[in-house]
Amino acid sequence: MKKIFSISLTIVLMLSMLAGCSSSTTVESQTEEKIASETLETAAQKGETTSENVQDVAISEDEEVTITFAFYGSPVEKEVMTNAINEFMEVHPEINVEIQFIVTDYNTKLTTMLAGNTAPDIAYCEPELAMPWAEEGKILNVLEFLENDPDLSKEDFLPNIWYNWEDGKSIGTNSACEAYALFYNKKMTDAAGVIVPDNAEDAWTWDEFVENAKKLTIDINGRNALDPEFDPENIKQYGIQFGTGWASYMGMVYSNGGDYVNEDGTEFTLNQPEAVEAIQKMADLINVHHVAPSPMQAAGLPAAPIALQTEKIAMTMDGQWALMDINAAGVDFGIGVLPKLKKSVTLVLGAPTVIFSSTKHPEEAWELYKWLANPETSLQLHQEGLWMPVLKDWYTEPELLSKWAENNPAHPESYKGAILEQTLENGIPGPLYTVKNFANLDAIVTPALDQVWMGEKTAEEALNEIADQVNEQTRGRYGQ
Amino acid sequence: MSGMGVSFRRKLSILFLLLGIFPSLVVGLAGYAIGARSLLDNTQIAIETNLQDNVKTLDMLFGDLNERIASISIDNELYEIILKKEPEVQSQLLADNRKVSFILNKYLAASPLVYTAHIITDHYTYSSNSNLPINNQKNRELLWSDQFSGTYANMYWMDTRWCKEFNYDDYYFSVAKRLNAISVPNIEGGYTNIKSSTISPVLLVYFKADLFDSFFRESLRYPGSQYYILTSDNYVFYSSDREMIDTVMDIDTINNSKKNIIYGMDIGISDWKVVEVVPVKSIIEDMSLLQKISISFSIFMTIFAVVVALTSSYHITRPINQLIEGIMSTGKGNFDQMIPVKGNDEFAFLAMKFNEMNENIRKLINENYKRKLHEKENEIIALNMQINPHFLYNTLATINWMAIEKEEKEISHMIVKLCDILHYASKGLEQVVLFSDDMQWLENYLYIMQKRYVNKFRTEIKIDPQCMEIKVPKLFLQPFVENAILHGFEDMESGGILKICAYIKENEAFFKVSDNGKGMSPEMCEGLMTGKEGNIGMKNTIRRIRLIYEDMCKVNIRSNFDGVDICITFKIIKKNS
Repeated sequence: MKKIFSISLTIVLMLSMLAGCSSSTTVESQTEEKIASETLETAAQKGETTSENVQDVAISEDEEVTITFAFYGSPVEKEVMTNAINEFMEVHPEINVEIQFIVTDYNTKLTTMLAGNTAPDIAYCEPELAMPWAEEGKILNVLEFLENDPDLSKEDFLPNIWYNWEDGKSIGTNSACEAYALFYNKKMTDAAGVIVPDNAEDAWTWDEFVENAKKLTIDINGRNALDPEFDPENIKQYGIQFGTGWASYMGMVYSNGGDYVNEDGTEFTLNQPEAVEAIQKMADLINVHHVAPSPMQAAGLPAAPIALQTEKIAMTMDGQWALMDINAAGVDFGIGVLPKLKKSVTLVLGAPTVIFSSTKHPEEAWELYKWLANPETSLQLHQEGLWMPVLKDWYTEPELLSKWAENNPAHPESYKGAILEQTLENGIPGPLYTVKNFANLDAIVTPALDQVWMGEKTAEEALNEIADQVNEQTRGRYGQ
Repeated sequence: MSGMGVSFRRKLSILFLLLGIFPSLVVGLAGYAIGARSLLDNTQIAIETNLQDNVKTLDMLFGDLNERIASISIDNELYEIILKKEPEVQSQLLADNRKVSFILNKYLAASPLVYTAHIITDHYTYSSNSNLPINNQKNRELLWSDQFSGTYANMYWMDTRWCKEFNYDDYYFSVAKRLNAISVPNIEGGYTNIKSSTISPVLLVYFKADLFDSFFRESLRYPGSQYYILTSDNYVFYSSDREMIDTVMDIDTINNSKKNIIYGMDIGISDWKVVEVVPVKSIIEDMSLLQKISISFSIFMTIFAVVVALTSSYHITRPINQLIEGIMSTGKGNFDQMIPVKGNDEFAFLAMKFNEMNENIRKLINENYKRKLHEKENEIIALNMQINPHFLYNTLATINWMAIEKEEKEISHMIVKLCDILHYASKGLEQVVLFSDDMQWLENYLYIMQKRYVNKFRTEIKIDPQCMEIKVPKLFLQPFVENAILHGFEDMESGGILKICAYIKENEAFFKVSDNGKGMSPEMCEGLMTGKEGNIGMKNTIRRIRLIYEDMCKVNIRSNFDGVDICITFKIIKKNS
């Protein structure tokens, strides 16, 4: 009996000591681990900020194929795309995708990689770069993949977003579809009694547009631009704001039946009456009607979403990607179609995702291309208004439509008529899709048009002056 | 046991509990305290190191930016554009701005910090992008300010207050640097000289203040912790805690409150510093694992201690309890009770000795009792020897014959009965006899007594035949019958009734002797039953009955001055009743 007692007591004491020791050691090692993982995290974080490239390299197995995907964008885009890639790798365990997220100077870095023979297998690429590279044989023809693909055909995509560098040869479509429209602050249009049409049939004529823009332009005395005593020197609120780049005015040029170059792309046609009229009308918004800020005045305005929110502008002519920021700015906003000159149209644009011909794994890169083309994989960006799908079904099938264009604050009621239907029915692809050497042509045109926006010259004068210079640079059009 | 205050077992249990719980609590608490302190220390070091690392990275990035800005300040291509006289057409400025933007982006686009950059001249403000609107009035003030007109390398940092007018949700801070402060060599040879005729342009670079978040917010992993970016006079111009922005921070108060751990560190920007405040509580709360281990350990040890205490105290006190039970049983006179002996420890020895003692006592009692019985038997033998039965028989036989000769039948009859009585009484020494024999004797006795006291009483005898087979102490009813006749009917001339009956009921044999004589007082009855009073015959008989039958018998005497009921009850045990 005594023995049992003494043994049990000893066990109690020993156990308590042991447990005491082990508990404290556990704590220490736990802390060390925490510190270690923390250091790793911060290291990774720093790697991201300093070296600009994040390389999420997964452990690759022997039979695994590794492909590289390069892209850029906002932090939200990075997150959504990274998730999409991770899901892709789950579905395709045999394919390992290395992500190269390039924060700044994307074009230069991509060019450097291509020159150094370290191009990614698949990447976002500006069409200005992608189209010449395709002609130089650096980019694979997506149509060839589509021909042999059992799941997807060319007809599944929107027809007006293909970048074809020759007949039957295409680097592909946009990564996402974009189109131009009017975005307005509802509170301000309501106050002025302005109703912005949200479909092609009701689109404002130019005069109606000017009239309404005047109603929405208010000076510091509270008089609108229709008032004879309106003070154009002290405008508090502009009726309309637009950028001065080609994307802003080409929509109106197309609406008036004009074009950048002639049909075979050999001759500059922006100085032709249809185009001149459209551009002049836009410049008149600034210099004659005083309903839009000049580029100088615009420099003093905040970015369009904030300017809308702070009621510095009532309407803005912008790409549909602006939905995301406008919605985020907390404006009660609406969407309208662009005013029409002869025909209500919208400009369709967007940068493509391409597969480089240097890839050793074209099939796997194609799998990823298809994956990224499916809006399902990046639904968040579609829902938040940054992107529109590139697949036709997503515009027409109610079930698919409801996944992105309905029941979310970035897509108000007016969205369907003003952007969705307009893109499908009246979307005209921008000059980048078809005009060769466009970047160089635009480099001549833009400074010339600055004089028009500043009211120093008429559109006709300015464009005629540079016509010869531009014609020297025209290289024709790409194939269909 | 319960009347003894705190029992031995309870004392032992408490002792063991204390022995078991105290060390485990001490060790557990000490482990917790040491672990908590070391964790706190480690956490402090970790937070500090983390902050240092982040500041280092921030310094590195801003150091890199300084170089880029310095490069801008000696870019001839840039000077060619911005030092031009104001062009006659405004569109030229737009074209120039595009070029300036390209040059600025060449230097600044690769820096992840820069939000936008402006170059302010006396007639125009060039911008690298349109991220932020241009405020001409403020820019003019800045251009003509002498705040940073000093040395070449002077960078003039402005906290978020300067950019307040943007009035957005975001905060911006900025740095300004005077350009054209030094002569720069040209590619073609010669220098671009400082132009003293015009005011030197100013490069203004904007940063989004939330870039601090990417450096410091990640490290705020403890709930409630915040970081603050302060100017040298402790003005908070950016913080993870938006409420605190635009207030002056009282660092000493926070430091003295002991509720927070506070770290301050200069960042490589201006004379600004970052201060991180971490509530101590949140660090301690983070030690949930440590707590869990400590608590579960304490619970485990407590349960273990309780089990050990209860079982060991039970094992220790069990033999003592057995001993106590044994002693109590012995106290009641039961010497046959043996305590089970297990093991070979001190308690087993004690129990063994107790058993031995019990055994000895039992033997002693037995020996003593038997010796007494022997003595009594010897006494009786001696008495018997004194009255020679043969002499008596022969004498009585002679008298009998004489009575028969004289035809005195009644006398003859009495003498025969008397002979039977004497014969039965002196026949043997056996203690118990068949009731039938005893009854035969009693009838003889009663015959004689009735002759002695003619008409004084009559007897009513009612015996269940079954009772005849029962063994009873010899002559056990005689003293009671005699008492009834001699004392009960003492004052009566006639009419006395003596009832004797015997019957069996539920394994008990009842023998009753009752009379209707003068009876006794209840005290007398009580005295008789306890053996303290009464005549020697009755006392002896009662004691004898009890000696033979022990607990198996009951003697009940009831009287209240009107006759006596005596009832003797035996439990019938087939074997020896």
